[in-house]
Amino acid sequence: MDDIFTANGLWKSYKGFHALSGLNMHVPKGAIYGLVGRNGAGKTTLIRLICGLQAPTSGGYTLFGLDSKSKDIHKARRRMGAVVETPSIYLDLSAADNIKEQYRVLGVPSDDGVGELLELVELADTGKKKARNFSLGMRQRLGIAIALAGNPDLLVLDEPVNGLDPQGIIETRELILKLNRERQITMLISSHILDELSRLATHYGFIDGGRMVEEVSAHQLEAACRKCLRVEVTDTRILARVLDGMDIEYQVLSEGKADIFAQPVISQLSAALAKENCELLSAQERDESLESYFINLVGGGSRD
Amino acid sequence: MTNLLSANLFRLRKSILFRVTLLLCAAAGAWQPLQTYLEYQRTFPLDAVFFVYAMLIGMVLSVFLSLFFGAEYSDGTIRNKLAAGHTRVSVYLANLITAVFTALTFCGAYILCTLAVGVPLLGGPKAPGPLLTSLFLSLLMAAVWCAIFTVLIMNCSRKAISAVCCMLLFLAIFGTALTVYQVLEAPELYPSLQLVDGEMVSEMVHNPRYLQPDERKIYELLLDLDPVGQAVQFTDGTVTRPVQMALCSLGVFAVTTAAGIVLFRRKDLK
Repeated sequence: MDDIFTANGLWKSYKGFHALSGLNMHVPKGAIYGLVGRNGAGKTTLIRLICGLQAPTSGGYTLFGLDSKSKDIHKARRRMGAVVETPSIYLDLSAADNIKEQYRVLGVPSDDGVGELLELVELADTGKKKARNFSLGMRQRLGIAIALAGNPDLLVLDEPVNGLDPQGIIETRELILKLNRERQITMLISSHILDELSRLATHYGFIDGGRMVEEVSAHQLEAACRKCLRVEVTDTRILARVLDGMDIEYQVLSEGKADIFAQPVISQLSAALAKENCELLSAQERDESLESYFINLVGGGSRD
Repeated sequence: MTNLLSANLFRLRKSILFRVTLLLCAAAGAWQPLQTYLEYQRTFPLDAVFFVYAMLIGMVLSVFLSLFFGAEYSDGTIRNKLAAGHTRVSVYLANLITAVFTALTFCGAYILCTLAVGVPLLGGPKAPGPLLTSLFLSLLMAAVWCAIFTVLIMNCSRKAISAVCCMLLFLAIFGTALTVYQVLEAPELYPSLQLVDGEMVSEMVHNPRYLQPDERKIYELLLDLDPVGQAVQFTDGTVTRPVQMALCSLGVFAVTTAAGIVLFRRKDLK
C-alpha cells in the first residue's frame, strides 16, 4: 500500500522546548489513521506542520510524494482538507456562505455543490442562520464540510469529537466512516478519546514526547489486545503438546510463558500437564483494551 | 491569488461592517458641504472642505481593517487558505489588495457624495488642476494606510490586540505629523513687547526655532512620509511637492509591505 504521508525525523522546537523530537510516521492510502497521544504529546504540532501553518525546525515530511522542502508542496496541500483544533468558519456568515467562500478560495467555478455538501453534513436546513448561532456539533460538521469543499484525498481532523455531545459524536463518527468508505478519503485523526478512535481507525500511531512510539494496524492491535489466558509453566514445549492435543489456539511467549486463546478448565489443564511432568505455576486472564495498550506502551505517568 | 481576491470580495460583499462603514463615509461626504453651506453660505469654496476625508480615512481604516481581517485569526479561517495550498505571500498580498480596494471605495463614496451635495450648494472647485493632483495623492496616501495596518494585522494573531495597536499607531502617526507641521509652520520673526521709557514697544525679533533651509528639507520629508502630514497639506491646500509626496507614499508602501511579507512568512500560525 502506498503512503500518502510520511514523516522522517521531524523536529519542531519552540524556544528550547521540543514539541516534536525526530518523529517518523507513515499514513497508508485509504487508511483511517488514528494519532494517539496525551495532551502535549505533539499531535496538534504535527498537524500544524502538515497544513503549512508552521515550518519544521529540522527533518521533513512528504505529502502525496512531494517533499516538504519542495516549492511545490502547496500543490500537494490542494489535495487535502483539514480541521485543526477548532472549526475554521466565519461566524458572521451562514453555512452556505461559508462553503461558497471556501469554493472561491479553492477556485471552484460553480456553487452547485454547496447544497450537496450541506446535505452530507446534515446542515441543509440551516438557511440564513449565522454560524455564530450554531451548536458545537454543527460548527464541527460545517468545518468538515469546508475541509471537503475541494474534494480532498486526505482529510486531517484534529480532535474531531472533542466537546461534542453523544449524538454529535455518533454523527461525526458516521460521517467519517461514510467519507472513508464511499469517497475513499484517507483520514488522519488525532484524538485522546481512545474508545471513540477504536471504533474508526484502521491504523494507529502512538506518539509520546514528540516521538512515534509505535505504529500498528488495527488487525495487529486486535491480535495484541485479544482476550486470553496468560499461563506460566515449567516447560512450554510440554504445554504446547498438551494444548495441541486439546485443539486449543495458543502463542508461546518465552521459555515459561504462553497465551492461551480460550477458556480451558484449569483443573483439567493442570492435570494434563502434571501427567507430562509439567507444573502450572500461574494463570491470569488478560483482556487488553486500546486504552491499556496505550498506557502500557507510553507509561502511566501524567504529563499535564 | 485571484481566487483569494475573489473570496475576500465575496466576504466584503456579505459584511455588515463594510456596508455600515460605507454608509457612514457617504453620509460624512454629504454632511461636510451641507454644514459649510448652512454656516457660511457660498463664502467657502468646495475645495476647502473636499479633503476632510483624508484626515478621517486613517482612523476609519484602523478600525475596519483590524476587525475585518482580524476575523481571519479569531475565526481561524486563515488556516483554510494555507491548508488549501495558497502561499503566504499570496495570502498577504490578496489581503493588502482587498484593503486598498476597500479604502478606495470608502474614499470614493465620500468624494461622490461631497460632489453631489457640494457642487449645487457651494459651486464647483475653484482650482480643479491642483485639486485633481491632491485627489490622486490622497488616494495613494489611503493605500499607504492600508499597507501600514496590514503589517500589524497579518502579524498579530489576536483581533482585539491588532485593533488596539492599529488605533494607537494611528494616533502616534497623527501626533508626529502635527508636531512636525508645527515646527515647519513656526514664523521666522515674532513680535516681542518691550518696556522703553515707560512705554510698551512692539519689536519683531528672530525666532530661534525657525528652521534653516537644510533642516527644513528634512522636516518637509518627514511630513511627506507621514500620511497625516500629507492629509494636513491636502486640507490646507498647501501641496507644493507633489512628486516628493508621491515618491514618499510609494516608498512607505513598498517598505512596509516587504517587511510585512518577511514577518508573515516566518510567523508560526496556530
